[in-house]
Amino acid sequence: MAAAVLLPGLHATPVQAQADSSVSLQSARLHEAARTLGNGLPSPAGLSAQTLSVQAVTPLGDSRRLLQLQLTQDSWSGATPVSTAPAVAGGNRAVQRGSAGQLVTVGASPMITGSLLLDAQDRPLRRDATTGTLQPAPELVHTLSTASPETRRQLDLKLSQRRDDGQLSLGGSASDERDFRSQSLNLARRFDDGESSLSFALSATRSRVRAVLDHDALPYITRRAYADHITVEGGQTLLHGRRREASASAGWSRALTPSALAEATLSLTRSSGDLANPYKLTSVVFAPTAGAGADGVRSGELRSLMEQRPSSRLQWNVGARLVLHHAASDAAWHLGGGLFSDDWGVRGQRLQVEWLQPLSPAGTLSLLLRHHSQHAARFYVPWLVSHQAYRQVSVTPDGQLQARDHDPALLPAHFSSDTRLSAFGTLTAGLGYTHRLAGGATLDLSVDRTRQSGRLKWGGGGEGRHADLDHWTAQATLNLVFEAGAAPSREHDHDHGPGSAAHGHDAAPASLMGVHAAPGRGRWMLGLRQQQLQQSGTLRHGTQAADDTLIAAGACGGAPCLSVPTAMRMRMAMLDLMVGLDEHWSLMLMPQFMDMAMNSRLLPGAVAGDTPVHVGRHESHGLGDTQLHLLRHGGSAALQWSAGLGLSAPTGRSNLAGRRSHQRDGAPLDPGMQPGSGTWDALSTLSAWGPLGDGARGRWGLQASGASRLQAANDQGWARGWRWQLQGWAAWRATPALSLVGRAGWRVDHGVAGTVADADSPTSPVDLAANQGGRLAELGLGLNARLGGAGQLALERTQPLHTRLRGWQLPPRGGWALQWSQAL
Amino acid sequence: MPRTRALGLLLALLAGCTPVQPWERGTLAQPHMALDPHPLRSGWRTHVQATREGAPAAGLSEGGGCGCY
Repeated sequence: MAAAVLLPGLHATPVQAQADSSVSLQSARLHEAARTLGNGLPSPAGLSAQTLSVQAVTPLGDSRRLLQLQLTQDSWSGATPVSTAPAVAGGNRAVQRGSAGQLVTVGASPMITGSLLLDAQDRPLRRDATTGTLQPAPELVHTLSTASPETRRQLDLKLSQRRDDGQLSLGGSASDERDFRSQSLNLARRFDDGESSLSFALSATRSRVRAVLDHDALPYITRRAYADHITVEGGQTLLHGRRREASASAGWSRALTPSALAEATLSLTRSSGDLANPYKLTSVVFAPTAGAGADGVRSGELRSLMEQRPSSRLQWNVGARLVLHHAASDAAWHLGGGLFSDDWGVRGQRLQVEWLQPLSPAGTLSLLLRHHSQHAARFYVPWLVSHQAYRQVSVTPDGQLQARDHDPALLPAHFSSDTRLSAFGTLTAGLGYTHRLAGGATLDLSVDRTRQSGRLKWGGGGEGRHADLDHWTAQATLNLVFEAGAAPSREHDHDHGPGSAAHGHDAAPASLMGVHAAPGRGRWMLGLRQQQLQQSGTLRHGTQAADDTLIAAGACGGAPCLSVPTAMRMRMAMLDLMVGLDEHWSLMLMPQFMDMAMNSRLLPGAVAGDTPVHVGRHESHGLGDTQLHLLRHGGSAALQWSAGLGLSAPTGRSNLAGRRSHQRDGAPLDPGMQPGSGTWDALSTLSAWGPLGDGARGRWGLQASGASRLQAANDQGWARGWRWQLQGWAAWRATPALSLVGRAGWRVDHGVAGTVADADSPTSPVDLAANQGGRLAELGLGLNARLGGAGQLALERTQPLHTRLRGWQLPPRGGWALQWSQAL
Repeated sequence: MPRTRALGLLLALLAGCTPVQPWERGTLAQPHMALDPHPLRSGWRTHVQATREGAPAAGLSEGGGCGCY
């Protein structure tokens, strides 16, 4: 009945048609199929992206105020097009390995300059190998480049206030990635009159671009148009830009009949600033007609220019949705469509049909079909011909050589070969399943397959086959709903397990694992942990800071160092799944996702040359190793303990390598940048905790834990060394729901054993196994909050007190840990 | 012309609707009848579409930017 009240015309958006508190965890993946390069060239792996998202909705004070928080992390890598060119120009060259006479093509490398023949109508020509005659060669092909791995994080906050006539919301978001930062504010107001809902929203976004131009491609990119936007910093060439966006929208929804809902939306968006994609180039063939033969055939020089888009864009978008109930099958038809247009010439429409069929009281199946079609932007061109020379060299009367560059005024003011601005259609088929679990939890799964092609455009005239693209996406969402004022699952107090009048975990620091009382037979606990550790500053040897002269001479094992790290960052997102086997035993599964980043600079006097050197920012990410723990719990109200044995499975990769550069395959990343260890490891923990005094105000805890490697080396020839830690903490309960937690810890890390791949020719201290690990004493200060219904949120800031590093390393600067757990 | 017809059909549909009383909303209250039964699933789909297509994301503007892939 609560849901029936919360329908259009009475209250709330569909999100708040649920109960007042909820937590959702989402994992999603996108994978593009490899694109076709032609000429028998193997395609590099297509773009792959992994998204992790956590959303929490909670009332603030009274139930009329709601706070919504969402943290999203995208990590991606893989090959994408940088430009398009006639295939005959050879934009993708073969990468071959093997001895002379036995070369094997193992990959393709982008070539963004070249030459080709054109006829009198500027059409590409190919010389037939057999007859020697010139033949038309209209085929186009993308020039692909593999993007370095990158991770983006976005935080969204929204505060909503329910009013008698609707709702008012104020929100903001911040997105951060290596080359793009964006912040936005939005304001929304909804009016409900008992029959319809009318919504209005305004938003403003400000973004900053700081793109690192590929040092391999830089000599071949024509970037005159952006000379004022380009700087050189720390050995890297950067393109700077700023964008602004303002958007206004309106929406209307209504229950049309007892079995039909309708919604209509209209939005207007204005963007301004530097709107070009800094990584997209347009192929321009400079072919002056003066050099043509009698048949008009002439040679052209292919050059790649950074794309140029207008500095403003006005877009409007109209959409409508209709939800119809099919009584015979109790299914719902969701019909949607929309039109869009902008002043760049991109316009089109979309149609979507989704059928939702309940299979049981708990499960619903959904099938989706969606079609999208768009016209190209006015300035979209796959490639261009310009009837002038790229650069003319002449001899002055006094015998001096004089070079004159092409005239930009003879080129279009705007041009782009980004296929997202081209004419094409997409067809998406999707399958989804939602299952309601016990205790207010819902699991939602879906997989979509999309085909993008010029042949799918309404009315024809779409882009050629070279731009065809397939991709699939999949997502899984776990949603926990807590109805206002009620426990989330069965009646749940904290008295379970032997003498367990109190849990340990509500006073345990956020950075620790395994401090739990037994949840009880068949009971589940779900948790999510985010941890970030940083290293920065001046490189140290043991406990001593080192200057550049010492580093260059001694930090690379006898070879001269060429670069040195300036900052390193490790982030981990770990999912905790715990189930009680009985009143004393529990099992815990902990998969994790890692992302790392490292900044490096050249040492004074060092020249990168032809040797790949760590310079600038490098990132890596991926699934990490997965842990499985068996825990025994025991004790009494005065003292509780848990002891665990675990296994870490090498589900994370330990063989990531840098991208190809300087015409050489990328070098393997150092162990600190690998998401996984590559070895099976044994884990152990012993934890004890109890009340301070009568326990009303304080609690204490101790933990000893260790990790030892069950293999001497992974497939790459190295293994992380053993590690053990000792932790002690005390918590002071400031209020019934809030505790302050202080922690002291001591850690010994034996670094890395074996041989890292770059050990033979190290250029940076990170290339050596001897420069890993050490001893660390640290403090932690945190805040723990009890949430409604056996939930817990803990935040901790960690700060190193004393470190003794093995070899030459950046000093640790501490970090943050955030942990959420919920008993189901 | 097809767009004009669609708009006319929509207006005719709206003109024929009568208020739905609270006690008649039992069917509409079912989870699969919500305008957006899977907000996070839809949000992910919209995010992917916005990075692949030239059109802006549909729905109420909520801001936020992404350099994206």
